[in-house]
Amino acid sequence: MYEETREFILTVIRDVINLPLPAEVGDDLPLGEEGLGLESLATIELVLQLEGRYGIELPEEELDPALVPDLRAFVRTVVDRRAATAGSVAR
Amino acid sequence: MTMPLEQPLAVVAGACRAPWGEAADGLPGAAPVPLPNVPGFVTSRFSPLVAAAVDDCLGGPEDGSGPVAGRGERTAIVLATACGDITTTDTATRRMVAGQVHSPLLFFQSVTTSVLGHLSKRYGITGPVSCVSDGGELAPEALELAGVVLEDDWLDQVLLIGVDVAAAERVGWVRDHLDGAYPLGPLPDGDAVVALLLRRATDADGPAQSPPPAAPLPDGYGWMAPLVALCPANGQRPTF
Amino acid sequence: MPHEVAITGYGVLTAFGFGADALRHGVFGGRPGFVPVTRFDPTPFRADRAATFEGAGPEIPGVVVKPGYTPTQAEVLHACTAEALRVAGTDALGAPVLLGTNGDHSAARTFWTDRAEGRDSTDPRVLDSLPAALPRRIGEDFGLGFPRLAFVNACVASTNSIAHGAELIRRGSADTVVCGGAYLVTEDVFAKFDSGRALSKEGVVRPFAAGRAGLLQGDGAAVLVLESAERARARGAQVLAELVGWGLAADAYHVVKPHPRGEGLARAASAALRRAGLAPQDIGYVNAHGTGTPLNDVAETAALHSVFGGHAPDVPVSSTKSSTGHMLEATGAVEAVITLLALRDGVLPPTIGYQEPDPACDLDYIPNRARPAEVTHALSLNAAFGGVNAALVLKRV
Repeated sequence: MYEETREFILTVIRDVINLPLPAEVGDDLPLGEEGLGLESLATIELVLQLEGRYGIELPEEELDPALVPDLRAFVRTVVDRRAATAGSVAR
Repeated sequence: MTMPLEQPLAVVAGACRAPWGEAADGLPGAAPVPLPNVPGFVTSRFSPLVAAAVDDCLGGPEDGSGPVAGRGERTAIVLATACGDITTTDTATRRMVAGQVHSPLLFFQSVTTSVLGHLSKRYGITGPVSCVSDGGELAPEALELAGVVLEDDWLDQVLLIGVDVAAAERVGWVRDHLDGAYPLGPLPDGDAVVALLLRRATDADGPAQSPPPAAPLPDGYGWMAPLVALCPANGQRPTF
Repeated sequence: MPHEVAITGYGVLTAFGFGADALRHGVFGGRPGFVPVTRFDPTPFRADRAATFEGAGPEIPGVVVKPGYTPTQAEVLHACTAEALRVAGTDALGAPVLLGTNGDHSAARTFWTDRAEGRDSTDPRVLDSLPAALPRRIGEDFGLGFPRLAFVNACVASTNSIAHGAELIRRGSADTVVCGGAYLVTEDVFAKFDSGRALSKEGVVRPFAAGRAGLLQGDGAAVLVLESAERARARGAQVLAELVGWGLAADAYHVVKPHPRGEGLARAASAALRRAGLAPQDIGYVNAHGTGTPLNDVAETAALHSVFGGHAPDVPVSSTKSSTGHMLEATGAVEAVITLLALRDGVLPPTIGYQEPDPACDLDYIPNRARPAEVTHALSLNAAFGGVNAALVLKRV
């Protein structure tokens, strides 16, 4: 689930939000100005895309690029929410 | 009720683009259809057009020797557009009509100042920024506005941008339903942009200056043709 | 010899209704104009309030506002222009028309709704979905002159229209200018701001205070008649205030965020003071942009410190958006009228909703209650996306 989520996030950043991706995208790349270049509005768009694709609700405030240390932490938050949502649906 | 500018202006740099591929053959600024992306701007070609023309005109900020280097505080921007970014506006409205959620990306780019924020940061431009729209005689009005802005001694130069995206459905409707009260001047045949860097003629050192060309205005650029005709060519820098 | 610029007339609409007395009741009375939105269904959005004019308050001449009917930009601009010309006592024939507007989005919405339902639009108001149509229409309605320009630089649009009008008078290319702007809360623009998480979910705007809240939108329109002081004197017109300074400047910082130290705003204010030939300590009141957002209010406070230096704590500053909401393209023109009233009435309008101070905003914000003060010069500030800033300086006569 991690790899698939990560791939989707990078696709949205590149193809929807129109931000150029570096040649190598490491898991420890920051999300903000020093890394992927995500701004707050772009992050909201990314969150909306993720919510739409996976049928989940994400804690937007916790996903602020200024608060999330790196891509890994961002992907994990989404993956955790996907797992929790899948679990609650299963129950 | 116009009044001559206090001082004549000179064009020290200029660029135009008609990114229509083969359809623009023979036009000044004829260019392939694709435009460079502007990071974070989506859907509409309005902001990429502005960014492309400004980079062509100013030569990119990278080497630090362009015409804005060291003069950012003394540079103003005037943007003129007949219709504005109708692609962004209409995309957002049509999504709403279809019951879809708004994209936050369309929020900021729906105003003309956002791409100018991108460019003013890129070039360190901190002078006045004006954006105006009119359907009629926009080229002379934009030149006059630029000239009035440049009457402030604290400023050295004005970056004048003319831009419109290809007339879409809503603009077509407006054009078809106009009566004499709302003249909508000729619009470009497609996405079109022009950028001119203007200084007071007395300040524009460098190669020869010449009166503006008397040649016929380039077809296809609509209202902005008189601005396109001012783009420097063959080492001449038009004054007016 | 540059010409001096006089303000001889105005017409204004806010959530509190039409005219100056509506502003005295609402803005100077310390009342918030925010109500649950009824002109469209706000259920899909995070925020549900705006300072809309629903007919409670002085009515717009010639326009019947009732539940279910929202006036158009053209109607309110027409009413404001008629009132401004009436107050000025001039027909302003031949005067340029400069209006801050991004077009009437409700008209664009009608067009696309018709399309989606397979109809051809027949509503002539669709014309007004293009910004340039509005100054054209006002120019035709009143036989005014040229140019007829729409200023489309977002939240400094009508400030810019006033500044450019002042330039035209200063340089002698016009002796009278009709300028101003309009924005009426529409679903499309509301939805855009909502999607960008820009609207206060609390339903209030609480600028400059701890626990700041902002922004919320509001209806606004204002038209001012600017005139060369000689012409005004020659025809015996009453000068309401002089417009002595104006300035614009950019941040060169970010696509949407203001410069954290408000550098562009400070440059715009300094340019306006320079134009006016005034020192910072000559300013007795600042009508701030004051959107109530975390970034704006701190940046603006920093800008005021930079402009006023050690004098900053002594200058009363207020955000009247705490009452009117943010009127986008109209905000500079409406706030110019509010500033004019402050000078003329000798009363400074408050920042309402102010409870606890915020350490990052440490100026005198005129909390909650209007304050009597005889002020000679006042500064009005506005800022827009892209880091574009504008300032006006008005002088009491």
